[in-house]
Amino acid sequence: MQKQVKSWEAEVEQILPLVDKPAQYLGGEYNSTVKDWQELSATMVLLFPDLYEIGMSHLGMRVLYEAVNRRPEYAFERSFAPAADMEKLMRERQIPLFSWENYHAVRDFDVVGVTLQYEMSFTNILNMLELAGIPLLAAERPDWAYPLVLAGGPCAYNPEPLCDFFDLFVIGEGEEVELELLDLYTECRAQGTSKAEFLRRACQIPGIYVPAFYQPQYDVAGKLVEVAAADFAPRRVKKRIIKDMDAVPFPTDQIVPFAEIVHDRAVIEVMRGCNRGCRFCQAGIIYRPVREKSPEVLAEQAAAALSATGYDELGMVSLSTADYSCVAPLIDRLLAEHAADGVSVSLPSLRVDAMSVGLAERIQTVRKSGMTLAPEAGTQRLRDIINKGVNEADIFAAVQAALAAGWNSFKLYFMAGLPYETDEDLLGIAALARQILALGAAPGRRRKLTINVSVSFFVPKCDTPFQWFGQNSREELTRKRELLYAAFKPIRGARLSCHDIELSFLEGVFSRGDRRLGRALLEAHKLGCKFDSWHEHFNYEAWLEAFRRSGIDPADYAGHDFAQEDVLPWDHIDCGVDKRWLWREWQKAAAAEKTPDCRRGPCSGCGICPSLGCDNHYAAKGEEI
Amino acid sequence: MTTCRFCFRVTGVLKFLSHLDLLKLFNRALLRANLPAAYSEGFNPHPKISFGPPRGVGIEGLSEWGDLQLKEELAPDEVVARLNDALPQGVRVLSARLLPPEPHPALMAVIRLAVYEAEFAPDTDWAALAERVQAFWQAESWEIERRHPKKGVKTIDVRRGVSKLELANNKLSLEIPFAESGAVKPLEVMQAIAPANAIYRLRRVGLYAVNAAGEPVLP
Repeated sequence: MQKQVKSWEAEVEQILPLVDKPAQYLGGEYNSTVKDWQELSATMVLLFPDLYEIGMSHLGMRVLYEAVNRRPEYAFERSFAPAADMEKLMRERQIPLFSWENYHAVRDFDVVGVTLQYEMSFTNILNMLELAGIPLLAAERPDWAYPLVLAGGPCAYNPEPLCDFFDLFVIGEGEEVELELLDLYTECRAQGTSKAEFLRRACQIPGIYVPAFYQPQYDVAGKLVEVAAADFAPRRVKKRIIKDMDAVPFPTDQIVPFAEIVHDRAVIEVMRGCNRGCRFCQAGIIYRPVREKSPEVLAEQAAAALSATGYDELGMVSLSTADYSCVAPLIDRLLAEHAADGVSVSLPSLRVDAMSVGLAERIQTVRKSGMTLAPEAGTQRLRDIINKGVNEADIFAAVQAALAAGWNSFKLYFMAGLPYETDEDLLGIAALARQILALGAAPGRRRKLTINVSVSFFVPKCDTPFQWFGQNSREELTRKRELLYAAFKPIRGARLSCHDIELSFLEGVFSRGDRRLGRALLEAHKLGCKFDSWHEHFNYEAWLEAFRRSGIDPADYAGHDFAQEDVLPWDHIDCGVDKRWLWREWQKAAAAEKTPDCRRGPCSGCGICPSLGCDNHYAAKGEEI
Repeated sequence: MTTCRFCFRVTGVLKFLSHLDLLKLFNRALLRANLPAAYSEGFNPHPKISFGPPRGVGIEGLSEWGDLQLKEELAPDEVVARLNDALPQGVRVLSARLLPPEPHPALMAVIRLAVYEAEFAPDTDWAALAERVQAFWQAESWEIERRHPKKGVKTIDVRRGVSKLELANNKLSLEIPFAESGAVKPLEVMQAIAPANAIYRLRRVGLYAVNAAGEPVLP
């Protein structure tokens, strides 16, 4: 497939002097892969629906970049959301959305992928497709006149609100299935296969969900009764995973951005999955099972990434790096090998216990920003309900250890609006803050302790034990917020900040929404909604108008309690964890009954290992786990 | 400790990097190139590298200068080769030499003159341009307002900040000395001179020290 397409570099160059932070729009970063399109059989661009500084901090995009670009016949390029000033100029001068590698128009690619990281980036997706000049609705792209448009990422586990816009979704980890899909695409295009026929064949690839082949059926009351699959399509689409993490391609030649990004460091991916089983946490379910990499592979990849990038910081990335079975020896090894070169090591998140604080002390880099701990709930009863697996003794031990190591500032994360939450649980957050401050006021301590308490409003997510729970109403959340502010007012040394209720509400609408929401999303886009998660751009009134115009009651979507027998909009997407287990966990939550992490306790039967034919894999054997 | 003085160019879209971005880029390239750079002491050690006066964002630099302190002596050609291997395409090191061991002033102090060149698009109104260049050159002073987000509006005489102005072929050559009080910004001069909507490409083509006779010499 020989291609001669226009580069928009000259046009982009003309407008860069007029925008803020122009360096974010520059491709050709060190280690980026720029291929000659004349020699390729297919080209793909991944759209990250947020600014460059956010998108480039995301490991998943880099992993796919590596996996596809390793194949000489395919090119995988990147595109990000332009900031408002840049977008305005692009629209004025009719410059289409382009790829950072080649400044090729997104619509000139064969395949356009979109990463779905969080619900409140959905309007940016539509805005980017519009900037690209690609019709938003999949139904308006029946043939090959436009690129194939697909999506993947955590929000693809409930793809329904986005089904109107995408030709297909990739469920699960993309390294292998993305290539299978490109292989099929290349074959079909070479054979002159129609797009409809291609999609019929694509839905046979495990992990590929083609929404056009699945029709939701509603009863007269508008309740979902079935999602009917076409006879040739699988009933349920099961997620894909990489079984052997040591063997999977990992990008050590990591792109080094010119502009500063949020996580500006070299990274190693320590493991995938987390089986702590916090009942509110979607990542803890959808990324199961745990697959740790061996410390030898990680040490090699760390050395390679540092020398290929020139970064002086190394991030050890995973959902819960402190749980990695060889974490302490690995940190020691990395420090021994690289500290002399001025390299520091960082952990993205910590568990709430003394051992994690010990790790943080060992690497010392988080000291600058204060110690962050996430007890999530204010009382033991509620922490047991959410299965956080942390008790008061753990919290105080972590605080004592951090104080002894010299930390004088803490960030504490909590949630409000959790299932079975009472006002007592909320007041418990303030009580916990007081107790922590008292520890910091112990005699002999010179510097005063300050704590920042951040409260977010719980959003129930699909594929979690709390997926049946209707989100608290905005009125109830507002009342809870006022209660918290009143409780914190007399506490000196603690600062409370709460997330945006309206934003959490919209997130709740979409996280458990169904296909009918596509209309509202389209209306919101037409009303100019974008960058919703950026406070200065969020336009709640426009969103309400969008729901009115599409005849949708958002409060019903966010606040609806599902019953056990209800068909859930995402039931045909199989994350590998048994729905019956999720329901049992939901019942155990009601009884404040804990379920131990299967890393340490017995198997609770979530079903992931038999479903995927892949057991939890730990790098260490025996005691260390 | 040896100082290696090198000349480099920044072209293409990398002209949009800020001075700070460029510093960060060189710091990382040094690590990738595995050069024996000397590092500062302290909690957050950084390589001892310094540059000449910053360019404005959006202006290419064809002959920029940097000083790199090396822990151990290394052939200048080796420094050039290894750096170029580790730099992105838009930045190229052109030459390097080791300075004599005695102390020497920083590049920022050495460099006294910048030469810019503006290349105009073929459809430029040449007569209007020549007229404006003439008017600017003959003016006693040419005041403009410089807006600063925090410091407010300041009036600046850009004419006094220009020591040479020459229009030949399609190119405007512009010399701006670095005075005690600083230097005028080339884009401000260009705004004063260029006809409205004129399209041009501005480059810094040279940076010079001044010898005892007052003549420009390479740093």
